[in-house]
Order: sequence, then C-alpha cells, then structure tokens
Amino acid sequence: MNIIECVDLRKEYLSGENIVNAVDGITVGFEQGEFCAITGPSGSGKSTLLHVLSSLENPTSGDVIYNGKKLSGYNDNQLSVLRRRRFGFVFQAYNLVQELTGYENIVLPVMLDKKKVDEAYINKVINVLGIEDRLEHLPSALSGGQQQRIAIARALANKPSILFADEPTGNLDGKSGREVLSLLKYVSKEFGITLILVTHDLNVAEQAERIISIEDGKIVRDTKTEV
Amino acid sequence: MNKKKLTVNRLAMGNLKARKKQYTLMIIGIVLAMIFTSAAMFFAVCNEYSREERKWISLGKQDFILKKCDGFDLERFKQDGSVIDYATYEVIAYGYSPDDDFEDGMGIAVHNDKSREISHFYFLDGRYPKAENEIAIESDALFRMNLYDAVIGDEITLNLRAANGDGFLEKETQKTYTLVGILKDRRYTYEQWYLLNSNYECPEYPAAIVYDNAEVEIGGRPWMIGLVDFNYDDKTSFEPFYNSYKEYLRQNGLDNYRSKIFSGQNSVNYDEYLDGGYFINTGGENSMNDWALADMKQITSLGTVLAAVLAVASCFGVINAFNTNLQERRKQIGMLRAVGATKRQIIKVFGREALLISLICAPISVAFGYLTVWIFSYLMGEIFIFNPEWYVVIGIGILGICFVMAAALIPLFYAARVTPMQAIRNTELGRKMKNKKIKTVKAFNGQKLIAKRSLTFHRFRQVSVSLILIATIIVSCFCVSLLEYYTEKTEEGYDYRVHSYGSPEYAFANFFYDFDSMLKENDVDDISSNRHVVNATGRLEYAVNWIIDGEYPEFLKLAEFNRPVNYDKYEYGFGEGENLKPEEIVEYYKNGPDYSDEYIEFKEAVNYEAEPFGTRIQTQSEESLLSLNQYLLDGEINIEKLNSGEEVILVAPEEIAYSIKYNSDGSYASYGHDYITDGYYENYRSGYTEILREKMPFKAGDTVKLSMLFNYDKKENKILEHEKAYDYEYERYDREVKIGAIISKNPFSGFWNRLPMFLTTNQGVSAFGCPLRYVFIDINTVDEMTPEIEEEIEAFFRAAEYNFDSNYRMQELQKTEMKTLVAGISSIILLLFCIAASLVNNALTSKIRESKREIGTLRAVGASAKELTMVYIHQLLSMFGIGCGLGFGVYTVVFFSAKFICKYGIHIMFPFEFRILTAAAICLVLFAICSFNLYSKVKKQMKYSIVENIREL
Repeated sequence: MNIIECVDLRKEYLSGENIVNAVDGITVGFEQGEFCAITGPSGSGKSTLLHVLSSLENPTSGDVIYNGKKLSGYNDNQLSVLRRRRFGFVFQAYNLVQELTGYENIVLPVMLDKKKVDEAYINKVINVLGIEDRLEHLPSALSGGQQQRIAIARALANKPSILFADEPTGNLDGKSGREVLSLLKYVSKEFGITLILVTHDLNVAEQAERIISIEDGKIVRDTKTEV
Repeated sequence: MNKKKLTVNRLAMGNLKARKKQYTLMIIGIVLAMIFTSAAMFFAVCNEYSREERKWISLGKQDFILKKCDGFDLERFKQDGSVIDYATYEVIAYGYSPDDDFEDGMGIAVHNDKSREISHFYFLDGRYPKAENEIAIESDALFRMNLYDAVIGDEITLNLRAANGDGFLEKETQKTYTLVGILKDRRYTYEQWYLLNSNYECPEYPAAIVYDNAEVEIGGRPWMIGLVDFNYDDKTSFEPFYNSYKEYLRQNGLDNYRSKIFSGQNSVNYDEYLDGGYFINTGGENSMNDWALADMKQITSLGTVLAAVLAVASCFGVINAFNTNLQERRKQIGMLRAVGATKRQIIKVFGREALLISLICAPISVAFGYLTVWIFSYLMGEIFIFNPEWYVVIGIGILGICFVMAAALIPLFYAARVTPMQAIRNTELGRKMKNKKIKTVKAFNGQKLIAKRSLTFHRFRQVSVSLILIATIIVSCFCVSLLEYYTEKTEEGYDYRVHSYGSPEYAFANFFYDFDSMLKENDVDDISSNRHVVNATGRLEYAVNWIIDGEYPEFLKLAEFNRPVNYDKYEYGFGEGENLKPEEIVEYYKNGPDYSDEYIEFKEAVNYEAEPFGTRIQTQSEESLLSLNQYLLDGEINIEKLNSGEEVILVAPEEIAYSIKYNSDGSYASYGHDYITDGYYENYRSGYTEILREKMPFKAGDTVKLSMLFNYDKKENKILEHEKAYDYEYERYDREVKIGAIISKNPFSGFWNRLPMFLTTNQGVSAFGCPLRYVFIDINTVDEMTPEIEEEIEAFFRAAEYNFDSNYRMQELQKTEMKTLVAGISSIILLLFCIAASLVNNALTSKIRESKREIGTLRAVGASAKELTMVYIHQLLSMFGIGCGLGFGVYTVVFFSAKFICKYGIHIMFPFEFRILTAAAICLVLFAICSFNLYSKVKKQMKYSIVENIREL
C-alpha cells in the first residue's frame, strides 16, 4: 500500500506572461520504507514534485494522498502538524536556524510539538550520523557536511514516516556527499522510513531502490533497481 | 543601448529607486526622528532669543532710562565708549480722560527713528501713529482711564497739559485722537518693578505715543527722556557716568525727589540708592520682575530638555534605520567588494545614498520641527516668542543633514570593513556567535529560545528599541506630571469675588479709613439672594499681634528679618536683610534690629508689655479650611473648635531660610524663603547660597496669645504718611487660643502672603468680640453657567455697585489655556509615540524581511502561523521587557535623584510627582500596535509558499 501518492498532480507557475507546467499531471505512489530517487535535468520539475508531495507547496490541481487522506482537506495548522510529526525535510542549503546550536536544531521539531525528547532515539540518530561532538556548535561553526548531518538528524527527530530530501548532496564535496547519502540510506533502512530524494546526479540516483525520471513535468521513466 | 556613464550618484539613485518601499519606510522613521532633533535645536536657539526679545518687549532695548536729560551730554559717553548707543525722545504732554481722574492719566511722547528702535515697542493691536491726530496707548493706561472697551479706530478725547521741561503746565486743552495702536504695557511694568518702594509711581512716564511731529498747542517745553545702551564690559566706566548724571540732576535742582530707586540688585555692582528717581536701570539680570519670563524660561528649558532627550533617542533611531538597511544589503556590499569595489567606493556609494536621503529628510524635518515649535509658541501665547532668523533655520537644516550623515556613516564604516566573503556568507553572524558563550538547552520552548538568541545576536536592535522606549517613558512620565502640576495650579474655589472698597491698613493694628464701606453680613445675604448664586462667603483679613511672652523664638526672628513689612518697628524701616551686604547679614541677625522710637511709643500706647509679632488672621469657608488637610503638618482641623474661638490654624512652613544669590557679574541679591516645606524653596530660584535657616518650633496644642487692635478713626492719611500712629484710640481684643492645626501653606490668595499667619472661620474671629468686616465675598454660582446667566449675575453686581471680579471668566480662560497645554503636551507624547512605533516596527519588520529563509525553514519543520508569530512576539516582548524595565528604572532613578538634588542640593521645588500609569498605558498600546503589525507581517509571509520563503523570493 502506498504511504503517499499523487493523482494527476499539476503545478503551474507564471513566468513573465507564460504559464510553465512544472508538474504536468503526474500520478505516482510511494510505498512504506521505500527509497526512491527522483531525477531529471534542471527545470524538469523534480524539486517541484517533491515540494508539492511534501506539502511545502500547494498543487494547482490534483491530489496528494497521505495514508489514504487527501492533503487538500487539511488546513494550514493540520499541515503544520503533519509536517512536524510525519514528514522530515533535508534541503540542499541545510536551512538550519542560525541562532540555535546543533542539538537545539535537531530537537526543534519535537519542541515545536511540545513533546518530550526521546533521548535514546535522538542519541541513536546522533551516533549514526556521527555528530556527537558538533552538538554544542552553532551552524556557522560547522562545515557543510556537518550542517547537512544536523539537518538530517533534525528531519529524523520526530520519527517521520517519510523523509524528503531535495538535492541533499548538492552543496557538498564528493566525499561528504557520499557519506551523507550512505547515512540517508542507512537511517531510512534502520528506522523504516520512506526516503524520497531529488537529485540530478545519476550516481546518487543509482543508490536508490527506485528511480523516477522526470522531464518537462512528466514522468518519463519509473524503474526499480537492484541495489 | 544605454550609454549613460555609471557614476556613484547614478548607482545611489538606482538603489533608492529599486528599494522604494524600504526607503520610504526608512525615510518616514528618519523624518520623525529628525523632527525632534530640529525641534530641540529650535527650542535651544529660541529660548535665549525669547528671553531677550521678551525683555525688550517689556522694557525696551536700553539699559537705562534717564527721565530727564535735556542738556546732559550723552554723546560724550558714547565717544569715550562707556555708552554704546543712546537716543532721546520728548514727552510733550500729560493726557487724561475728561471723564476720569487726573491721576489716572499718562505722559504722551513723540519719538524719533532712533528712540523708536531702542524702545522696541510691541503692539498688541494696531500700528504706530502715522498722522497728526493718531495715537497709540498702552493697554493698562486705557484701562486706568476707564477706556477698557476701546478698540482700534475709536475716537479718544483727552484733556492735555503741555510738558514744561520736567513737569506739566496747569493750563489744559482738549484734543480728540484716533486710536490706531494698543501698546503692551511698559509703564505698568516699571511701576510693578518698583513696588518695593511703595511711594514710587510714574504716571508721567509716557504710556501713549503720537505722530512724530505732533505738538500740543498750549506751549511749554518738551520733557526730554534719554535711553542709554550701556557698555557693561567696561564696568569701571559706570561710576563716572553715574556721578555725572547725579551732578546734572543736582544742577537742575532735581536731586531732592522723594522717591528712591534701588539699583543694587542689578548688573552693575552698584549698591547705593540714586536720589532723584530719574534713573531707571533696565539692563540688569534681575531688572524685570516678570514671572511670565520665569515661566517661559521654565517651559522652554523643559521643552529643550525633553526635545534633547528625544533627539538623542532619535539619533540612535536613525543609526538603527541605516544599520538595518545595511544589514539587509550585506550581500550587495559583498558582491560590490568581490567585483573590486574598494572600501572607499562602498562608503561613497552608500554615503551618497545617505546624503540623498538626508537632503530629502532634512527640509521636511526642519519644516515640521519649525512647525512644532511654532505651534507650541502659538499655544503658549505671548510668553514664548518664536521668530528665528532665516539663517538660523538654514543652519538647523544643515546641522540636520550633518546629523543624518553622521548617523548613516557610523554603521556604514562598520559595513564596509567586512571582506567580500564575510558579507556574502554572512559570517559576521558566525563571528558574533563565536564571541558569545552559548550553552545548548536540552528542553526549550522553540519560539522563546529563537527569540532570545536572536536578541542576543542582534544587540544593536535591542539597544535602539530600548533607548526609544526609555525616552518615551521618561518624557511621558514627566509630561503627565507637568500637566498635573499646571492643572493643580489653576484650581480656585469660587466663581466670583466681590471686593470691599477699603481694607484695614497697618501691620500691628487695623485702621479703617472707611469702616462702613467694608463688606458686611447683609452684603453676603444680598448676594446670596441672587437666584444663580449657590453660596456666598465673606472673608476677612485682620492684623493680629501674636504676643510673645518669654524668649522670642528664633524662627519668628528670622520671619521678621525676612519681610519688609514692619517698617515702624525697626530703625531702618524695610526688611533689613535686603539692604545688607552678604557679610553683614548673619552679624546683623544675631545682634537684632534697633527698635524705632515710634514703635516703643506704640507699644506703650496699646499696653503691650511683651513683644508682639505682627501678622494676620484670615478667614475662610469651612469647606476651604477642610481642603487644607493636604498641607497638614500637625494636629487636626476641627471646624467646631475654630468656630467657637477655642482654636486657630497656624500657617507655618517646616522651615524658613534666607539666602544670597550672586550674579555672574559679581553683584548679588538677597532672598527670604518663607515657604520651605519638606526641604523645598517653593519660590524656586537656583544658584543662591543659603546663609540662615530656622526650623518651626510650634506644635498643635500650643497656646498662643493673640491681640487685635482696631481704630475706626477717619483722620486723613495719617498712617500712609507714617506719622505717629499711637495718637489714635484703639479698641483692643485679646484672646488666648490653642493652635488646633499647623499647615505648611495657605494657598488662598489674600493681601498677606508672609508666614507665619493664622486661619480660622468668621465665627472664630467673632469670638474675639471684634466686628466682622469683609475684604472679599467669595461666590459660587450654579454649575451650569451660560452666557446669559453670566451677564445677569454681572449686571446684578453692577447694579448693586459691587466691586467684583470674575474668577469664572478667568477659569474659562485657564481652561482654554489648559486645553492648549494639554494639546501641546499630548502632541509631544503622540509624536514620540509615532517615532517609537516607527522605530520598533522598523526594527522587527526588517528582521522579518531578513528572516524569510528562517521562516520557511520553521514552517517546513512544522511551525504554524501562530507559532511563527510567537517567535517574533517573544522578541518584541523581550525588547519591551528590557526597554520598559530600563525605562521605568531610569525614570525612577532620574526622578528620585532630581528630587533629592532639589531638596538637599539646590533647595528648589521639584514640581513633579511620580507618575507611571500613563507611560505604562502608552507602552501597552505601543506593544499592541507592534504585535498587530508583526502578526500582519508574518501573515504576509505565510501567504507565500514555504519554498518561496526558503528561496527568499
């Protein structure tokens, strides 16, 4: 059963006087625990698809269905709760809150949810990501790779069902990129999380169990790989 | 292709055009801030200007008036440099109304251009006479001649007696003039000024001006008057000038004039009397006994201080506005630096922007600053004169531009110092963060923690908001208290007051020249019968002698030493201290005065064996007396016991003192302070040295012997001539009474304002057995007065030939003045409020603009609109918490320090009360407005998608 799916999803942008169909009638589903890479050339609509799937943006038409429920029926607050409890996000530019330390950034979604931090779980995530000694530092004192690890830890803090990653290795050097990717794969398996990752890098995409290729807002290929 | 050359100006203009909205907001903030800066400068410049101008208006520009000078060689003194300039003019006649007394008339003068310039006339209405039959008259002179209804254009007929050198001919003629100008009173000012000497009057001093070539037909010689602008820098030259003039008077047989003009207080350190009364010193620091001037100084000084506080806060506001702007544009600076722009070029581009902004802001701000002070001066009436020269306005404009440039350059220099990568990657924040010791918090409220950290890393924003809040709080608190002070000052307990045509005279006994014409109980009944009168209360004020058995208290000795009243008691006449040199005062006080022969005979005549302290007993209504509980020092006000004559109320301050004030030129003046309560001199003057001080030794329950002497003999003017008062028969009424209550001050106006004195009820005075004759009848009318009722009541008073004045009308005028004062102070608070709101909102909305990415991130990790708003509300709350805490803290410290200094340091009254409620309410409203603004700004960001937030679109 798909944990999240979209049906005839469309997202249009106004570019000058022209309408651009960034996502053009895509219907696709993702299973629980699956690691799927969405790939395609720049401007193909892969990031937009991820943003709409993850409720960061509203679709122009079509539906996103999470656990059998249409997200269009959620109001703004419910979507906020959904994002903080069920979704995790990893961005290309890390997007850490600059005023908070590594640890504080990690537990921020839990704190926003006014819940108690599951120390054992968080410690495990921290250990897995190898950032024990960077927790007291502010983001500005961390390297790109370290910041991205903190961002991954933050995305996992609330034990999400789905982890959305938008070019998570795009700002990193080769080695750091590989490490981050391995970690994403590992935590996805370790914690049974669906990982939907957007990348234009085929080497990264090949690490996924499933690769969806997009061109001009449409899925042109959807293949399962042997990992 | 656009081939226009890329210049710094074009780049700066481009920046301004591209960020119209941002710059508009910034310009509004800067303009508001600069209004106060320019207003502060206008206040400061015009304070001094007003003082000088006010003095000129009241007295003229001259330092001395020589009331006779034909043949006196003033040119010689101009040649030797002791006189800077001089002018002479002619009194051509003495004019008075055919329908009024001769004594109520005035001198009529003809001026030339020079004397007009030095005289500096001020027209309340109309203009200078330009034709033969035109006249301009001082308003007081019109009033004295019963021409108080006169308006410009009226025909005024005067009986004229032509001047004859230094007097006037007996022969009269009559002439009709057209009134073309009403002058501000000057003769009255001189008379008031010389009230110290009860015999001085100057009816002949010209209070009217006619056309330059006007003549009186019946002949005579004009009376030449000299106006002298003296060169004070050369003090040694005064004596030759003075002696020469004295000799001139002697030669003209004018040195035996009865009146003596006291010039010892004035700028020239010359502490002798000048016989003759022909010499008026109008140039000294103390030469104008004008409380309006003191009020004006007080108000403008306060205004300057307030505006200066605001200007300092505004300065930080402007720095903050530029700093915020530059923070938002760090990347642009980084890019410019990366493509090779030097620091100097960066400063040039952004400095040019600042210049353009200041060129836009300065004229607007100066115009509004000018308007603010102009409105203030308009509302304050003629107390405050605001008419700055054009170059002052231009100068303030240039200073304003410099002010903005300076405020802009401070953050700009800091911004230009960063390296390109620092600017692009915003590593400045990292650097700041490294310098702060941040401890990770394990469990936290996300909104609060982000807010707290944000303030930690953006301290400047906090500082500027705190400063403006501190200024808002301090200014509001003092303004509200000031308003209360002025409101309280104007409270009076009656609507109309009927005056008796006579009043008792003399310090030790009550002499009635016309006992029957005093107001009586049937007058009270008559007035009470008017249907619009709610109540009428007779008030009397009798001389009473406090008989001191045994040792005379030091307190009473100093009280007598202070006051120039018991002129028959001591050899020297007037209050002794005023004529003594500083070093003589304490010695003289210790030795005591020499009693005059007349006084010793007087004591024998009235059978006083013990020493009397001559003072007054005044009566008030029960209601008024009970209202004095606020001044209670000891005992209680018991109306029954006052009515029975068992008790009286003693009005005596906790302490009295005597002090000397040294002027900047080394001259001095001495002052008695009768109203010291809780350590304050109520007649606040600063810069004096206290030399004597005594505590009040009396307490409630003490028994005092009071004795009243009455003489109803109508022998003409015996007392005024200071002849032997003891020739008269006295009726003596003695009584021993207890001091029921001691109060520190008597707020009710009367003839007597010297302490100590006594208060009681009319029944209380009856208990002495003496007759009741009222000086005033105080009348309260119905609450809802209308012009018709007012007219009816006044017609009733006139018909009964009562001498009355309308406090109701005065109160109505005061209400109007109060409204203008309230409007003025409210507008200051409102403007400050706008500045504060603008700065706080600017600080936070710029923070929101800077934090789009952070907003997106927080939304992505699950923060709702409410939670996001709370992040900023918490920041606002912290800013307000710290700002208000500091504001109220600083206000408390300033308030109590100033109070302490006034009380124990400079011994002046501190007129303010501790008032924080209005400021707290202002802060709450400000917080509510800023919160709403924040909410709307966050809401606006929420309209964008999270991705748009993150991408900072």
